[in-house]
Amino acid sequence: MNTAQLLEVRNLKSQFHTRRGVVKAVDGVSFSVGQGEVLGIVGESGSGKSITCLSILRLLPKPAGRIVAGEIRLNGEDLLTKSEAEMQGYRGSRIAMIPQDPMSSLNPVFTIGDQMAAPLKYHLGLVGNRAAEKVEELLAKVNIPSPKQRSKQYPHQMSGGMRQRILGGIGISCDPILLIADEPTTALDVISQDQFIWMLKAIQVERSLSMIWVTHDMSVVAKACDRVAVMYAGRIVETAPVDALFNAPAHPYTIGLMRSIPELSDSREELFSIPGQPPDLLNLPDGCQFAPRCDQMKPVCLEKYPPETILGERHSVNCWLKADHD
Amino acid sequence: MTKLKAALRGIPVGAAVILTVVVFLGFFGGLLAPYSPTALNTPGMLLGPFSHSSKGLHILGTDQLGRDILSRICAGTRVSLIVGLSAVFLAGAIGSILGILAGYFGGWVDTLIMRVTDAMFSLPFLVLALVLAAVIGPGFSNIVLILGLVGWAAYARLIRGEVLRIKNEQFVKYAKIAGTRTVVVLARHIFPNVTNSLIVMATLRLGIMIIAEASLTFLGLGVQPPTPAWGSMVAEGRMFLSTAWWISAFPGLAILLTVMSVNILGDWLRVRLDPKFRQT
Amino acid sequence: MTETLLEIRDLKKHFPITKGRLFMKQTGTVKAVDGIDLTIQKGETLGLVGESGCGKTTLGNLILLLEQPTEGRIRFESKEITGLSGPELREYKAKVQAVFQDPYSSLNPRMKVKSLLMEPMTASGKMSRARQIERIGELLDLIGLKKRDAGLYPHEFSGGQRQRIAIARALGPNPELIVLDEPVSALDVSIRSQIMNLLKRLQRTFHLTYLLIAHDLGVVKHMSDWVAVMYLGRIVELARSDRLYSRPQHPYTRALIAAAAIVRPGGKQKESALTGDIPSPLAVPPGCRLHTRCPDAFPLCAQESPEFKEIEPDHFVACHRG
Repeated sequence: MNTAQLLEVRNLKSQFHTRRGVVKAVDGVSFSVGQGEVLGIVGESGSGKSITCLSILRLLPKPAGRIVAGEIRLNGEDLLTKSEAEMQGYRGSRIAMIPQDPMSSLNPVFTIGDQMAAPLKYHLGLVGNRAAEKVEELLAKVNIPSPKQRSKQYPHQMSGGMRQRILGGIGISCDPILLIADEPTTALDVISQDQFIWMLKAIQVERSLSMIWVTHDMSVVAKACDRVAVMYAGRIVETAPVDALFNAPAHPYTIGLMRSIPELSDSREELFSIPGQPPDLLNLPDGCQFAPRCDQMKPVCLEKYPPETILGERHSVNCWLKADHD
Repeated sequence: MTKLKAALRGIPVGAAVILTVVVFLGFFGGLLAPYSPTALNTPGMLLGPFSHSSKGLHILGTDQLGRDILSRICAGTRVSLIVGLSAVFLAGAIGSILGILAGYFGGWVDTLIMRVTDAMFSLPFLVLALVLAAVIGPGFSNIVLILGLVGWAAYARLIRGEVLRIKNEQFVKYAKIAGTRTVVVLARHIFPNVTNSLIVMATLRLGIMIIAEASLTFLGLGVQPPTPAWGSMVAEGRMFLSTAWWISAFPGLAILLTVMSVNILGDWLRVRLDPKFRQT
Repeated sequence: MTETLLEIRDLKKHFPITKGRLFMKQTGTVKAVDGIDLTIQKGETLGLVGESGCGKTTLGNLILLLEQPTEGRIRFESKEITGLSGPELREYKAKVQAVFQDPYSSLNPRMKVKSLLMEPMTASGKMSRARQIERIGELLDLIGLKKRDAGLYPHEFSGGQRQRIAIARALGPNPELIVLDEPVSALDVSIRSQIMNLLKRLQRTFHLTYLLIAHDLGVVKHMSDWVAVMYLGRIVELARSDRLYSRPQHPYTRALIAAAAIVRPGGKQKESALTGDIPSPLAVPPGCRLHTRCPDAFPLCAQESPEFKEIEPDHFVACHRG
């Protein structure tokens, strides 16, 4: 079913050229996000999930980072063919991003109001009173009490949870068609996380907004996402609707990840843990990158990268163990 | 060998070559000089570059007393380098200690040291050096002392900033928890982590010190004759600028090339040692 | 037969906020820790949970003697420890160690693993150099690293391995109590369970006592025998781990558990959620600290601070409702 996917990424490859070699941060990633759908991208450090998002926005740090292959189609148009000037017009207005770390993402020397008004002016041409009204409207939308006073305050006068919600407000301010949230809850405590997720979910449902949630936290996935893509060492190893991912995970990495989360195991004894270390992106092995840590590894796993196997409704996996399914 | 190659990656070759030559001359200048830098040869005075006197070919010419300019430059390298390096060392030592104390202990120690630093910054470097030189008197070791005493403020400020950053690192917190004595914390945890910045600042300040020495010597307050020094050579050539320009020009060029090379290399070193770019 | 290892009575730590450099005027107080009673039994793990800014790290600092309390007592092995100095202080520091959150910041990048491991042992003054060198081999073995790793620098290891080194470092002087301040939250999810398993194994082998400070309820539940919940400088609930998770009494505890509980899709936002944001520790609300956000608050809550009472055996709550 390929009709009207809002975002289609095909075979994206992004690399970093460093002195020690080429880091294949994203190595052939394909996925799509439908209209009004929330896709979660899950992975740990080195998985490539953040670089994938930066690639969509074409914000890779130069000169080391570059996109070397692939297509990124937003409503049919390939973003990789756009000029930088066109991309600047897109960023913040058609595609918006909510970054992590509210401490450093907000400028400490400008008021909240000033910072929120900036994209309104740049993309929508709003100034003066109309901009101030819109700022208050947005602050109320993200559950900041006393918006008028707060808009005149500085970031350090607010709690971490409030700052993150403000970043969310900036994200939705120009009515984007795609919103990317890059681990927005990582620096927050549990209650603020919960508040943030539900607040954003309500907005997403109300506006039928398409979203990508990047996270390493499975509970975020459970609360916020419709579909999930699991990334490891620069590739997607499994994609599934969220129910299928939790009830019937297929890839050994996904299974291992689920099993090592304490909340999901009631036993007070030894927790399951995936043996070994995260992959070294400068020296990726041939074949499946997870194989060295996999307890069900077969010889073919070390030789060739497994093809995609369709397991069910929108559920696919890249694993030799499932390859005879088709 | 490959480790050395990796360490020297990106090094600006021209600057490195020039500095190597300078350092070499600093060690062996006196021996390598084709002629004696101090022997008078009045008949052969004020000869232009590539001219001959009774002694032979003078590549860079002779000065008003017939001394070979090239030989004097070679011999003078030693003064510039030694004074420059010693002054940097002294200023760096004073500045680091004060910066570490100010940054680590804070409070009135910090306030006191920083106010003194501010005062030092508000007075022009050379003026201060001149005043001290007039008071203490000229001479090799006096210059080193003066330049060291005048030049520590920049180090103190920089090192203090670094220490403020470092003392919040968790390994410093752990050292306190483990009961490590303060002196040991400063020596093993704080100091080794400021050396990168210190080295970079030292290389960048070396150029300033060399020029400062040359300036003081130019004014007669530095190294005294007959010791050859670039600054005094430039000074002596002042009267002959229109007739025998080479007497001032070549030592001036030597100063220029040395200081530029030091600065260019200092820049490279700064990028090289910056942890953001550092290879692991 | 458990004995009390650490006992804290009415502990307070207030930080004055001053204006001006030379003539300092106090304009406010941050009451980071404001009256805490706690005991930890030998061989057990007490988990301390709370949002950032609740004072749990300050409490850890007080126990580690990085700060002196404004008021109150801390007793370790029945001896008062505030105001210790000299050899007694060194002895305490050898017995009470710490592991911190950030594996990248907690190891000096300029020191080899060997020197890092030796630091607390040297500071304790009780181990000969030869014995320390021997112990390095033992420690590396315990954490699953090789003897030759002692000559390497921290940047040559991954995050999980560095945390192991930090753990080995804490074990060097044979401590009794280890303060674990968010030991796994900076690590990748798949590495966390490795480290938690290691910590539990070490606890069993060496009969260690842990104070586990964390914000992740799952981690705390997995590792703790007792759990204390902290809010704005006070403990609001304290109970055995299973009791706390199955029958939480304090509204704040309930909100934390509700927020952390949904790990499967299809859950809805729980009703007992708190409203608003955490007040600044400079402006602690009068009466019960939670009353500005509590869904069950009534007038008394704004006037009087509730007592910390034992409502059933081994279960303490500070709430007017309970």
